[in-house]
Amino acid sequence: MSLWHPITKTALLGTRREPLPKIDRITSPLHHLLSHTKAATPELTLLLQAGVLAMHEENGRLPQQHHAPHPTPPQPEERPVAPPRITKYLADVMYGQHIGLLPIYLEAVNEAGYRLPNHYLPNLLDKGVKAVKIRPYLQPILGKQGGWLASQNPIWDFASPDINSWGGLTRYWENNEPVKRQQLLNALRQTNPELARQLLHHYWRSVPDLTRSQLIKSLNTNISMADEPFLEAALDDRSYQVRQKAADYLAYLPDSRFALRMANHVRFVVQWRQGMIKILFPREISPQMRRDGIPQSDPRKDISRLRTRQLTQMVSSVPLDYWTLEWKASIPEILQAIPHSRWPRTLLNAFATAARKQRNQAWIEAMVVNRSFDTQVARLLRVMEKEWLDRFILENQPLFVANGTNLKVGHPMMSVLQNYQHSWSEELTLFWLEQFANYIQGSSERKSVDMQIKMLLIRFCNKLPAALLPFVEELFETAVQQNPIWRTPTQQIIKTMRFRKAMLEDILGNTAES
Amino acid sequence: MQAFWNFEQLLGLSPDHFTIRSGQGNAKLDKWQSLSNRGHFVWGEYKNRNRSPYQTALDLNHMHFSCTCAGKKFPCQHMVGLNLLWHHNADEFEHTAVPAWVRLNQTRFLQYWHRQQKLTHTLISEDELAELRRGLAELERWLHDLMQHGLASLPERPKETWRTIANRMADVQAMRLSQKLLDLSIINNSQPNWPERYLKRLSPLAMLLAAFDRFEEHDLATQADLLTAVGRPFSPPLDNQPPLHDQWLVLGHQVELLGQQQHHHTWLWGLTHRQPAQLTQIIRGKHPKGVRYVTGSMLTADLQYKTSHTPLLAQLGTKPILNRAPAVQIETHSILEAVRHINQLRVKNPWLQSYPLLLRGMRPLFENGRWTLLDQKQYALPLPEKFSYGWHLQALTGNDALTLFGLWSPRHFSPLSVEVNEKWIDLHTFRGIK
Repeated sequence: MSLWHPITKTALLGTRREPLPKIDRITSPLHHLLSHTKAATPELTLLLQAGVLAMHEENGRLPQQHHAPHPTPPQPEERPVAPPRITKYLADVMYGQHIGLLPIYLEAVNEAGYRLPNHYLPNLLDKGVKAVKIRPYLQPILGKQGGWLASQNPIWDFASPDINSWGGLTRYWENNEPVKRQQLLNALRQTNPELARQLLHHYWRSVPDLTRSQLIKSLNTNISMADEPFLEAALDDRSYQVRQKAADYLAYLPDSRFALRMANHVRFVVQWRQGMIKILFPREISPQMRRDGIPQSDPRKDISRLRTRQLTQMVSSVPLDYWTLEWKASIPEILQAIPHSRWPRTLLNAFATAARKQRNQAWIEAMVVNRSFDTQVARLLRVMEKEWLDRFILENQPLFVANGTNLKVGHPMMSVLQNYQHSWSEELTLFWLEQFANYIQGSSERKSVDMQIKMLLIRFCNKLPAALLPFVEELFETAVQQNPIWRTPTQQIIKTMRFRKAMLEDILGNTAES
Repeated sequence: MQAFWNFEQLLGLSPDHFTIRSGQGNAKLDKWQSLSNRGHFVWGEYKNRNRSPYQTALDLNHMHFSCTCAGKKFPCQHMVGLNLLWHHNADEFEHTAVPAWVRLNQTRFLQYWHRQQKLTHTLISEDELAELRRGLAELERWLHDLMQHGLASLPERPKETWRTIANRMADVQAMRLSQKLLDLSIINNSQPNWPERYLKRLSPLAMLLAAFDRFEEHDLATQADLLTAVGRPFSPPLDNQPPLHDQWLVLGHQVELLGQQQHHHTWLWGLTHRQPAQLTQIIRGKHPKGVRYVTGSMLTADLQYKTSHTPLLAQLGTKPILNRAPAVQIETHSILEAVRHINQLRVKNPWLQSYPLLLRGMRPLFENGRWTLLDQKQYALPLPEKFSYGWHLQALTGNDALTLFGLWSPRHFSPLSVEVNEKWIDLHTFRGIK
C-alpha cells in the first residue's frame, strides 16, 4: 500500500479524529526518515511527513523510456521555401488589417512556386479549418512537410496527402462527423468531381435520410452529365428532401432524361396561343410527374401556392431551347408575353432559374436587358463568362453612366458590379472608375457616405490591376476635393491597393498584376 | 545593429502574441508623427488621436526601451512597432539631434544601472525579517488548524479562505507563497484524488516554514534560497567567486507576476563556462521602460552570480557588448543527464522549483492528448498540459531533431525558445494553438 494512503487518510479526517499514521521504520530508508520526522505539533508533523514523501517522489524520479515508433519522416521538398520578403506579409493577411487578401496572397505564393516556412504551417492549417475557401490554395504551398504534419492531426485531415487516395478518403469518411464529410465532398467536387461522386455513391445507402439530403448538395459544384445516372436514381430515394434536391440538380442538365420528360409534362400545361402564354394546370399529377418533383394537388393546402410550385418546377426544368423551337417564337417575344400571362412573377422567376441553371447566354442577355438590370435578374450575370459579360457591358455602356443622384440600389451599374465575378479589363476599369468619380463629385450634398456604394467601391478596387494605382490615387484625390466625406474611405482603399501592389510585386516580381 | 537579428527574433521582443500583433500593426509609417535616429538612439512620436503623441525611444547600444504610453506590458506595442520599423524602414528615419526627453531617459537609465552595481552585504534587515516571520507564523497556525479539522472541511469552506491567507502573505511580501496559496483555490474538489493533490502542495509550504524557523542558523546561501522560495523581494549579495567573463547567449525570457510587480527574467547561457544565468529586472506601473535583449543575441560581459547553493541569479558586472551569436555547437544534456543534474542541485537547494535546460536532439510526441519530448535514447520529458506550441515544434522537426531551451519544473518542462536555422526564436512568436 502506498505511503500516501495513511497520511492522506489522517489529513482528510483531521488529527482530532484520526491519529498520526504509524510508519514502520525498518522497511526502507524512506520509512526510517518518515518515522523520525517530528515537529512541535502532530498537525505539522503530518504535513512534514507528507512533504518528505512529496519531495522524495519528485527528486527520486527519473525519466522513463518511451518505445512508441516515430511517424515516418516526410518526403524531400520539391519547392523552395519562401524568402522573408514574401513571409513578411503573412501576419497582415492572416490576422491584420488585410485579412481579405489572404486568398490572393496564397494564390500568388503558389503561382511563384514557393512553399511557406515550416513554423507557419500550424497557423495556416488552423486557418484552413475554419476558412474552407482557402483550402484549395493551401495544399500546394504547405509542401511535403505540411502534408506530413496534417496527416498527424485529425482536424487537419483536409490537407493530408492521404486524402487524395481512395483509402485515405474512406478512412477520413469513417472517422469524421457528417459536417466534415460534407466539407470533404464539397472540396473534392472542386478538384475531382468524379471521385467525389464515387465516394458519395459508395456510402449513399449507409447514411440516414437527413444526412443524404445534405450530402447530395455537394453535386451542385461542377455538375455534369456524368452525374445524371446518380441523380436519376436519386429520384426514387425514400427521402422527400433527397428527391427534391435530385430534381433540382437534374434541371442543370438540359440533355438529361429528366429534362426530356419535363418537356413532355409541360407541353399541355404551358401553351403559346397567338402570342400569349396560356396556363392549363392538369387535374391530376401522374406518378411520373410526381417522381420528377412536381408537387401533387392536395385540397388541404393553399391552391395558389401549390400552383406556383408546380409551375416553377416544370418551367425551370425544361430546356430553354424547347420554348423557342416548340412555340416558334423568339426570346423577346416570349419575354414580352410573360407580363400579360396569369402568372407573370412565377413565370419570370422560373425562366430566370432555368437560364441560370442552363447558363443560357441568349436568354440571360434578353432577360437582363428586358428587365433593365433589376436586382432579381442581374444575379444571372454571375454565371456568365468574362468575355461575354465584357462585350455585353460595352454594348450597353450608356445604361451604366452614373452621377451623384442616380446611383442607388437597382441602378444597372450597381447590379453589374455586384454580380461580376471576374477581374476587370483595363477599358472597363477606367470606365467604372470614371463613374465612381462622377458619383463622388456629384454627391457632395449628402451628409454621409452611402455604405452600399462604399462597400461596392472597396470590392471593385480589390480586383483592380495593381498598375492602375497611380491613376486611382489621382482620380480619387481630385474627386474628394469636391466631396471631403469620401476622403477617409478612399484613403483606406488606396492603402489596401498599395499593400496589395507591394505584396504581389514582392511575391511575383515587378510585373505583378492581380 | 539591427542586422544582427531577423524578423522573427525581433518579434520575440514582445512579451506575448497579443503585443506581437499590435506591434506589427504599429510598424506602419503612417501611424507615427515623427521618426528619427542618431547613433544608437532611435525615437519616434506615435500618433494618439487628439492627444499628445506617445514618445517611444530605443537605445540600441544598451537595448534600453522607454515609452510614455499607459500600457503595463514591457516591451509595449509601440516599442515593438518602432523596432520593426527601424528594421525594415531605416531610411525613413530622420537624422536629427537627440531631443531632451531621449537624453533624460538615457540619464535615468544610467543612474539606475549604477544603483544596481552597488554591493549589498545583508539579505534582509532585522525589522523586515521580523515582519516576514510574523506573517509566516500566521500561515503556520492556519495550516495547523486546517490539519486539525481535516481536509474534508475544505469543500465546505468558501474560496475566499484561500484568498484571505494569500493576501496576508502578500502583505508581508512573501509573494511566491501568496501565489501558491491562490493556486490551491482552483483545485477541483470533485476529482477523486483531491485530498492528495492538496496535501502534495500544502506539505512543501510546511517544510519551508520549518526551515524558516531556524533562519539565522543557516548559512548565507541557504538564507538567500529560502527568501527566494517565499518570494520576498531582496537583493542577494554577490557570491565570493570572481566575475565570469564569457560570451552569454540570450536564450529566452519569462515574465513572473509577483503581486503588482512584473519580474522579467532573461535567461543566458555562457558559451565557455557552459552554465546558465538569470538576469532579472522589475517593471513597475505605467510608462514601461527597461532593458530587453533579443533572444539569439550574444552579450560579451562579466557576470557575477548572486549567493545561492544553486547559483543562477546574476548581475552584469560590465556593460555588455552586443554581438551576433556565433553558430556554435552548444554542449547540451540528454534528458536523463539533465534530470540527474537537477536532482543533484535539489539536494543542495530543495526549494528549487525551476531550472533552465538546454536540450539537443529532441522530438515532440503527441500521445493521449498531451505533448512529450523524446531524446535520441527515447527518454521522455512531459511538456505542460495545455502546451500551445506542440504542433509548431512538430512542424519544425520532420527529418531533423530540435534544440530547445526552456525551464524544468518538477511537473514538466516548459520550452521558451527553439533553434531554427542556427537562430534562436522565442516560441511565443509562433502564436500558439492548443
